[in-house]
Order: sequence, then C-alpha cells, then structure tokens
Amino acid sequence: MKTMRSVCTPNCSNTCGILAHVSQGRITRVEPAPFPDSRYTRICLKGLASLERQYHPERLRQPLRRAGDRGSGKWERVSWDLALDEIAARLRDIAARHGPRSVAFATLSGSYGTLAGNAASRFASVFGGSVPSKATLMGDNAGIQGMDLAVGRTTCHEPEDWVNSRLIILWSRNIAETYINDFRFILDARERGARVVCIDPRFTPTAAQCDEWISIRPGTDTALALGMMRVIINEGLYDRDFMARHTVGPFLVRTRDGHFLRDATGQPLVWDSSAAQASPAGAAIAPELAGRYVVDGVACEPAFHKLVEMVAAYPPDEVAQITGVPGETVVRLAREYASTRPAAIVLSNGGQRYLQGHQFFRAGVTLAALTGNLGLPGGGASAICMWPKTAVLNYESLVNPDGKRYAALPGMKLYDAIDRGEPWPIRAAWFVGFNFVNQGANPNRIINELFPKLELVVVSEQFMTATAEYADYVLPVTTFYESEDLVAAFDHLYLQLQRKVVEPEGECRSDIEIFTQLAQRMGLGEYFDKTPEEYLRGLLETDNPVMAGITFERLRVEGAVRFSLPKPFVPFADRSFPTPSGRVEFYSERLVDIEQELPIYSEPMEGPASDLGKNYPLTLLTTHSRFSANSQHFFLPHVAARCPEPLLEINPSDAEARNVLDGEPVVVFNDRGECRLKARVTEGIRPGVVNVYQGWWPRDFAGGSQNSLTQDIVNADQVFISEANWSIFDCAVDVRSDES
Amino acid sequence: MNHPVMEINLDRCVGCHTCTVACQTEKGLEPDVTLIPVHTLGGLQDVAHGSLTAMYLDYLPRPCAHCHNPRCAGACPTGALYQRADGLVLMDESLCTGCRDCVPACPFGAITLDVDGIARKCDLCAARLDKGLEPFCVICCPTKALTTSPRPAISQGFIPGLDLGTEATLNYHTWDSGRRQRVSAALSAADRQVG
Repeated sequence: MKTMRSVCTPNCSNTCGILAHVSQGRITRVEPAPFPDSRYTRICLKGLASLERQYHPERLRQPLRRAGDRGSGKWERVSWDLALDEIAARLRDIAARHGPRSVAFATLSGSYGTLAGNAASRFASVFGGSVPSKATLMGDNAGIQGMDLAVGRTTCHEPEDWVNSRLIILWSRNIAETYINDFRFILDARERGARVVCIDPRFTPTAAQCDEWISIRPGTDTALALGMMRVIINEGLYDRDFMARHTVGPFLVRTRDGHFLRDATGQPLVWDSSAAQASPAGAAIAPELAGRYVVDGVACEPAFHKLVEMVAAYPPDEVAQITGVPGETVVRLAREYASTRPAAIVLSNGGQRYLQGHQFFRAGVTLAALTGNLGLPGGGASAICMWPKTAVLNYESLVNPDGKRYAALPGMKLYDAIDRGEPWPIRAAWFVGFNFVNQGANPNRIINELFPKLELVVVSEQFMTATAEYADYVLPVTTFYESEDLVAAFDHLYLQLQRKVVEPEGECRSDIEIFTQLAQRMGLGEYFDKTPEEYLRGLLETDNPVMAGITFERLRVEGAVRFSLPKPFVPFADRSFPTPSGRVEFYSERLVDIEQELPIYSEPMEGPASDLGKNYPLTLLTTHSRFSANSQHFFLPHVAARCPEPLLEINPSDAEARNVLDGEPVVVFNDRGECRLKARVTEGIRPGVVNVYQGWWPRDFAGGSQNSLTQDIVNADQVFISEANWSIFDCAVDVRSDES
Repeated sequence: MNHPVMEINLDRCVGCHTCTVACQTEKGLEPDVTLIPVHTLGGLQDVAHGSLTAMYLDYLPRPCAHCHNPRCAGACPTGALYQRADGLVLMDESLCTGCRDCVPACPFGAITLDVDGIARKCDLCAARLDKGLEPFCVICCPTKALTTSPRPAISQGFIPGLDLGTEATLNYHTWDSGRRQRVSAALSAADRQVG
C-alpha cells in the first residue's frame, strides 16, 4: 500500500490536494493532502466522492462512434486507432474545404490540470484551428472585464487575508456553497470580531452564518453600489487623499466630448488649486476633485465631479425602488463601510451574470477606492483571482510551439460562428472538459440550430453527458488520478503537482496523449514530441519573480509550493495599478463611445420592466450548489443521497399566486424552453425570483432542463470593451403547476 | 470518563454534509447509512424560516452523543453495544444479531441499520483516536465546525437532551441566543418520542 498526492481539479476553485491510498493498483481511500499552511489541508464531500467518480460503472472506458442519428443513443465501441484515423481524415477534409480555422477546439473547466486544460489548444495552434475563450462561456468574464477596466488586473486578496478585515461584504458571493473551503476564513474573521454582511437574493447557507443578510433584486447590484457612493460622497466620508492621488478623480474631463484634457505631450491634466492652473497630474500639489474649469478655452471638470453628478440620481428612496433594499439600509451600510477600516468587498460570481455585469465590478472597485480600502490588508474589492494563476506559468511553451497561434474566437460568438458564419464559419467542434449542451446558455438552440450545422462533433469526456450524447465520436479521458499535471488555483496561491496515482481505467487516455496521437497522424507530430514531464518543466521555465524558487523537484517532493508573494498577498499594496493612467480608473475614457465611461446602472435586460418581463414576471437564477461542481457530482451515489433531486425554490407568495404547493410538480417556462421538476416553497428566496441549481442533467428532470430557459445574447457593449459574457441570470420565466 | 468529546460549533456549520460522507467513506458505508446526518432545523433541507428582517437557517450535525449512561448498551441483549473504559460507546459488529432493540432505545436516533441489517452508530473513530488521529469527519469538515477538543473563543457549550437522563457528552456551541433557543427546543424531551 502506498500513498500518492493528486489534486482535485473540477472547477470549484478550491483546488484541494488529495492524498490517495493505493493497494494493488486501486485507490482504496482518499483524504486531504497536507499544505505547508495547514488551513489549506482540506477537502469536501465532492472531493471524497471523487473515488466514486473514478470507478463509476458508467464511466466511459472505450472510444465510441455513433451508430445512429446524433442524440439517438446508438453507439459502437471502436478502437483508438480507428477513432483517431477517422477523426484525422475528417479534420483534413474539413480543413481542405473550409480552412482549418473552421474547426473549434473548445476546452472549458472540467479539469484544471494545465496539460488537460491546454492540450487541445496546443493542437489548435499548430493545426490553425479556432479556440473559443473560456471565461466568457463560463460567465466569469464580466468580472475580469470590470476589474481590468478599473484596476488593470483581475486579482484579489487571498482568503487568509480576510481574517484581517473588520467588515466583510459578501456581494453575490455564496462562499459557503461555491468556495466552500474558503468559508472558514470568513468564520475565522467573524470570531475575531469582524462583521460579515451578505447581499444576495437568497438566504443561502452563507447568509445563515453572516451577521446580516440584505435581500436584493437580481441584477440591481450596481444601483445599490451607486446609492452607497452617493451617501459616502454627500456625507464627506470618502478618502479624499486616495481619490486625488491614486485614482483618475482629479483628471480633467472635457465637457464637450468626455475625453481627458491633455497637455502637448499627451499627459492628462488636473486643476492644481495651489497654482490656480491646470498641470500634469504628477506635478500638481493640490489636485482638485470638484469644480468646473475653463482651460485654454476648453470647458472641463474633474472625473470625480462626473461621478458625483451620476450618483446624485441614486438617493436612498430611488435605490430602494430599484433594488428592494430599504433606504435606511443603504444609508447605514454605506456609513458603516466608509467608517470601518479595513473593510473588504468580495464580489462574484452571481453579479457577473446579467447583461451589464461588468459595471458591478467597476462599481465595487470604485467603492473601495472611495474609502481608501484598496491595497490594505483586510481590504480590497476582490472578485475571482485570475492573477497570478493565469499569468505566471510559461503557457507559451505549452500552447504556442514555434510561436504558432490558434485563432482566438470570443466565446459567446461561438453560437453565431456556427449558425451564421460570423465572425467566421465554424463547421466542426471538439469539446474538451466542456459539457456545453448541459451547462451552456440556450441549449435548445445548441441542439436544434447549432449542432445540425456542424459536420463533425468530437467530445473528450469521462461520462455520457448531454454533450457527449450529440457527438459523432466520444473519447474517454483520464481523471486527475490517472496522469501527471501541474495545477494552479483560483483562490489559494499554491502551485501543486498532480501525480499519476493509478493506471487509467479501461482504455482511457489523457488529453495530451490523444492530441499527440492525432498530431502524429496529421504530419504535426514534431510539435508533440515531448513527455508530459517535459511539458510541465517547460511551464516552469520563466523569469517571472512570482515563480522564483519553484522547481519541478520541489513540487515532486513537497506537492504544494507557494508562489513567491507576500503572505498574505495584498494586491496593489504599492498603489500601483496597471491601467493606462497607472491609477484606479472609475472613469474609463475609452468607453465614452458607448456611454459607459462611468459604471452606470442599467435595468436587467429581462427584468420585470422589460417587454419579456411583462409576460414572464419571475427571474430564474441557476446558482451553483455545494453538492456538485458544475455537472460532475450530483449523480455520484454518496452525493445523490444527500441531494437527490433538483428543486425549484420559490417564495410562498409567488407559489400561492400560482397554486403551487411544496413538493408538487411544476413547470418553469418561457419562450425558449421549459423545465419540469418539484417545487420547494421557501421564505429563503425573495418574491419575484426562483432558483434551480445548475449542474443537473436532463435525465434528472421530469422534462426539459434548467438551462433551456436561458438566453445567449451577445452584449455589444461588452464586445466593444473586449468580449461579451454569458449572462444567464438575466432570465425571465414564469411558473405553473404541472398538471400532466 | 476521559474520552474526547465532540464539540460542534453551530455558527460554523453550513450544512454541506461533508462529515456525513467522510464518515461513510471512512467506514465503507452505503449512501443511505448515515452515522452523522446533518439536519436542517424546521424540517426540509436548506429551507430557511422567518421573515425578511429575521430569517434563520440552522444546520445540526447529529452524531452519537456517547452518553455516560447509554440506553443503547442497556438495551442490547448480546453485549454488541458496550461502553469502553474511557467512556466511548462502541459496537462489536460480530456480536450484533440485528434484533434492533437499540434503535428505539436511543433518544437521539443515533443508531441506524446498514444494508446487512447490522446496527451501526458513530464510534468517534475510536481506532483513529487510539492512534492519536482525529475522527475523519473532524479532519474533513471544510468550515472546521467539528472538533474533539475545545477551541478557543467558542461559547459555553450546551448539551442536548440532558433532561433525558442519559448524560450525553456531545456539546453544541453557538454565540447566537436565538439559535441556541431553537436548537435546545428541538432537542428537548418535549419533542422526543422515546419508544
């Protein structure tokens, strides 16, 4: 019997280490693997159930080729040689007729192993294929976009820093379910005297262990933030010094066109009241935040002044009307946040998933800047931590051999690329760790309109998911116990080595093996001539100081090695922001053209005031459950026993109005689709809102699916900024009793 | 009695059922055999109660209370259930005949039957304790709501069902007086159907 260390790699973000006990080639038990800081020695029921997933009888163990129409459930087992020979031939043929760019290699978040998550992209680079962006299709790009605009980088305080906070606002952040192993840090902070406030349309397990729950109408978070700003500004509670020195607050904005006033060398100007004239920001002794000025005949005002004017439209009564949060609560929370230091705002992921979700993150950062909470231990406005995970490994060495690059397709454009050939035609798709049909927006469109236009669909998977059902070829891939990989996390700052603990089940192969063998058939073998270890060593070859001291040998021995960053890591401690101005940009000059230079509030696209909302007055949320990381765990027997079926959470007032009784069958419906399941009547969700956990499979419902109700709209504003985000909480539905 | 006691911090439990599953994986139990089930106070799982300004959701892990005066051991005809020298109430499965007399004897409903009809209950992972290791549920709890030694800064614990005369040794902790009232009321003899 031996023990070996792996990493639990589904997209729950906690990326725990797992110690596997192996006897005669079989894993007999698992337990949390040790970290240098024992607070990260952790696991949850999903990680424990990974053994059930590993040996599940339904796990795919052989390649399959469809033997009937797509979705008919008819399969024949084929050899790897046959499958890969045929796929290679089909790819060659499609590339010859439509160009290699017409093949999309779409990897998503099924596994966070670096090799598992990038093998298809390496192939796409040398084949000349397209790769849809990931964060957009997952609904995480609004946060990235908002943070990048405001502070230049999507980074966050690490969870262990929360114990330094005196006040923590969890804003659309159901940590006790969605980042379950980080919640202990919130509780540790509470035990040290921090007050924790939870803003959420639902009374979640997180809310149950916070000091205050603030119920809010979905998609109105930005309005609440603006209302808080108004209080903080009007009552003089803001950190004038921080705003003047570290934000674009004093930058003079030209009244006529919204752009910054600049000197002859292009430097933005501020009004220096000590000299009664405009001067470059760095040179001013007393930069003004208020007033209107005329400089060389040009009317202008500080950007801060524009913010003040904008938030003037959000007095407490107005905010109460919009959000459902009482006016007194807006005022009280604003005062408390502004007068408590350090105070942390932790945002995401719920607030991302409305059409204008990026504005919420800009607003959150603005609040932190207003109160001088950026760059302080225990402070900050933190969303998902994309940095350093996505930036410090040498991804180029893995994804771009010889400098070759795939065609980057904005993720939400995948739909129109397949359907209409815009921005360019996609005629074939290969899904890796991506249960698109189950998890994507508008699956009825995917199944009925998109897939019929794809000449080839290949799915690399571990189970016969809704997506695999519609494939031409299903290739069985390895789990995180069956291959070696490097894993970085989205919350903690450790890099881990995932060891190969056991041989693959059946004929399963790793993603890198599959694409190596495909490449060899297509004359691209020279780009796939490394061993897994060589790829992993390549990832570590970098001068990035964050990676100092991290070697493959250390990872082999220690299992988890922390990035070379202060402990705790506090982003922007040096008040240096990688934005164009080097400062916090609550005002984004380049968004003047779409009238989003400030983080304005917009009604949710499918809210009750919209045309659609008039016919479908409820908002459907599809939140994430602690019982399943996306679609990976609900069906595992020891998990299923704890959460046996999907339920529609509905408030008693909405239930009564529709003659819906607890435990009885209901239909959730709109023009796009429907979902049949049982109702769970609860006070713990606000009127006007219903919820079904995402991650259930179609077979778990009496009919339809939760995602079939969602829209796949591409937000042109977000496209202007960078890319559009998946916004499926912006979803109008109604509910009725299911008489059938 | 000097066995470790289970301390459950109700202000840290988020109803994730990791303890339930950890116990099952440690003991090789089937999915429906729960030795540390997690209840939601008020009935249905995850359903909150109250009003917009006073909402509550209380999760309650319910392992065996390792009573000083265990009714289950008293009811067991074969001595399969017995009290060890250090006070832990343990089970020798080889002596269990599946008669089920222990099940209603426990006022806390801590005894269940596995798929083979053998009585099972939490043994506080005695085998692990004897090696100086903590129970597996304690190790795996993501929020560190479970401990077998008192943690600093938790309130005076309260022990459920002291009025039932079994001298339970399981301690619950909460700073929330409302929660303490709700949990105490739910675990009182008045609500108990002792059969």
